[in-house]
Amino acid sequence: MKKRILVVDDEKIISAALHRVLSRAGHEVFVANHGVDAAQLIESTLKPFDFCFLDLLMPEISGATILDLVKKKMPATTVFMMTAYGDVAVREDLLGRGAHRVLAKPFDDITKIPELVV
Amino acid sequence: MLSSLRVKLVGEDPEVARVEQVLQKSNIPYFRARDTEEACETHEMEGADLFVLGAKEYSQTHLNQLQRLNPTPDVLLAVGKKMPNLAKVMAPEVLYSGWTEEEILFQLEHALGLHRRRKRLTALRDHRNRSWNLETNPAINLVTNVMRRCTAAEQYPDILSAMLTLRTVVDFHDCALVTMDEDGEVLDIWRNSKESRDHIEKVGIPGDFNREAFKDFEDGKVNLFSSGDPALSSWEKLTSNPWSFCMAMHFSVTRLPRRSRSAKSAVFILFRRELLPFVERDQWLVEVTFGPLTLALEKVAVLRAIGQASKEWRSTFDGISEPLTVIDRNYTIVKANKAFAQLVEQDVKKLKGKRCYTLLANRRQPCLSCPVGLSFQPQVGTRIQPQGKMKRDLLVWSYGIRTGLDSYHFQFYRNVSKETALASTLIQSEKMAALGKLVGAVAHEINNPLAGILATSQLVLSEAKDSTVDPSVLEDLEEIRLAAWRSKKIIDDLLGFTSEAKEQEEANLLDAVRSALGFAKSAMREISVKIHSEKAVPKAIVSVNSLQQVLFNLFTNAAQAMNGKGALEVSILKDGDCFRIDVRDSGPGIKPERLTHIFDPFHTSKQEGSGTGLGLSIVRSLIHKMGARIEVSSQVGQGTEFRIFLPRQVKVGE
Repeated sequence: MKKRILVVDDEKIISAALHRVLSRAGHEVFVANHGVDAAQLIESTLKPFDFCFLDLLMPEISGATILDLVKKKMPATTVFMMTAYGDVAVREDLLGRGAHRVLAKPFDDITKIPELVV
Repeated sequence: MLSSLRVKLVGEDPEVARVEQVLQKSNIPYFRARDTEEACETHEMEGADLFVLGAKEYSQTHLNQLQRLNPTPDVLLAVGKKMPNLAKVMAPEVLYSGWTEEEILFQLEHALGLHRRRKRLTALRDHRNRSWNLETNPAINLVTNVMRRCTAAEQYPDILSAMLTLRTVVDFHDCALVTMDEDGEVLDIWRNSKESRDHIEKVGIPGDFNREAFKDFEDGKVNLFSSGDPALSSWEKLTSNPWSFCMAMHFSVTRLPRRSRSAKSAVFILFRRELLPFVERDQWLVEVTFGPLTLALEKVAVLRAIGQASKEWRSTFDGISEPLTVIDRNYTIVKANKAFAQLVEQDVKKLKGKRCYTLLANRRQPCLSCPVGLSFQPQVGTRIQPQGKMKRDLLVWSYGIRTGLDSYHFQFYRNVSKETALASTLIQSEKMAALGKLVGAVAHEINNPLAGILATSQLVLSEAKDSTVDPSVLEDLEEIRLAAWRSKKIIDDLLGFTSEAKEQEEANLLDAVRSALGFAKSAMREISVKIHSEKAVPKAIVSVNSLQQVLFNLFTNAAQAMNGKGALEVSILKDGDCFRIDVRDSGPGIKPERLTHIFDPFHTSKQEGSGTGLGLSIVRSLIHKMGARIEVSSQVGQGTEFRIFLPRQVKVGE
């Protein structure tokens, strides 16, 4: 089933790869390379996203802030946080704020990512 | 020749009569006495060389009596052919009177020869005594002996008993020591009592015993008198015999040993109780023996004072626990204490005369920063760091001592090697902590682009499989993916190394071992694995992830060490308050010199590129964070064993 997916990462190569792998799986993928863009996108969209892939550390607006925003605007959305800082405390914190899972970067295998989106 | 022989015949025995006949015939002068007493006391034939005793007169008492004569005569025992066995044993020499006239004469002549030879020897000995040969003079030896005893015992009674050794030179029955103050007043009288020869008693000072008695005594000269002398009536009590012969010698000293510090002089008295006066020879012997005593005692006193001071100084010097030396201007050690000897690992007696820089730093020239030049200025301590084999870190202070033209330097050392080592360890660990932070930051920064590279390469590869792409491009892509993957592993390792402690929970150790083995399965295909465990499921409070990581690292290391083939044994057992997990491999083992370094970061036995050298340091840091401990033992050729000790926390009420 076709899902609406938001990918937010300031690292273009990662957002591009995620866009590529997810759209190849037949989903509708929206990409934001900046926290501000992502916030705008979430504010402006009419239909809620089904899934979000949020990078944790980004300039100006962090992934955590966007997580709060998403959870506020569209509580049904499943949010995957991505971080290169796999700290237990951070992980716990994010899960407590409503993130579905915390993915460690680099991914073991990006081609397995679409399996998460069901 | 025989006519020069002077003989006394003693006794009424027929043998003696026989000898008398022979002597008469040969015109040899002789004197015949009825018994020994008569022979000794008569003035006839005074100073006879030879006494011929009949068997009845022959006894130890008589022999003693004869030996006290001056000059001491030779004694011949006149006996018949059959003489008693006892006499044979005791007799000095035997004259066989049952023989013919010629034979008896021959024996007498022989005795005369012997006598002359003995006389010559005595003369020679006397000469030697007079010539003050330090080594052979018995008198000197005696004084030395006295000195030694004085030094050791510091008491008059000991001087007295030391003086008893005089008996070897002069025979006497008793001796006494009278000490006087500088005015000649008698302070103490010590007497060696006859009954028990070593018993020293203090004698009460007789009322009329005064300095008059010693007024005319000259230092180091021996005076002879008898206690029966009316002018010296008080001696009666001292000698406990009204008719003793006394020999007294006066000596004064600047400071006599301890007992009475005020004593300035002393009189040493020898008694003979039986009516045997001391003769000139005795007087001379005592004089040469005890004449130097004045000097000797003074020397002893001074030496002891010096010795005491030196001992105090030495013990203070040695007692200081920091190394100390006194060096002269050529850096030659004049004195060094025990701590210094320990510092340079040498015998303290062998240090004198050596150069300080040779001992400390094995140098041929003074140390560059030697503070000797600052000797006369206040200092804060100069650091010298002898290099090479005896590497150590010393702080040195130098204090100058000027004595006349010479100057010495008091060198005070403090071994700060330990402190320095500690400081450098601290610095090292701080460095490591900083490095850890840096590595963590860099790893995180690299992780992002690396994630992109890895993701894209994986993506492109998976897409390319579906389409028709040049296989060589695919290979290149696969290379990129592998390289990115390896980078990811290295960064994971680094992050694991620098990460903070993870949460601990109660976990089943057997499960942890099994899952770690599962992770490491790919590396252990051809390795036989055995797991031993206690029957009760061993549970400990650990961080499961950390423990798995630790075990995984150990397993993969073991597998690599064994080159993929061999046996791995894992045992879980209780060990006191701990659970122990032993991981034993059948690999080639680790050399002892490397064993201490295996936990150091970036230490690897593998070829460059195939290992980060972090595996075991991660193990150690994880183990420490868990509050556990790890040990390793290895034997080259037999394998390596790691032992992990996990604290077993027993719950209250269990």
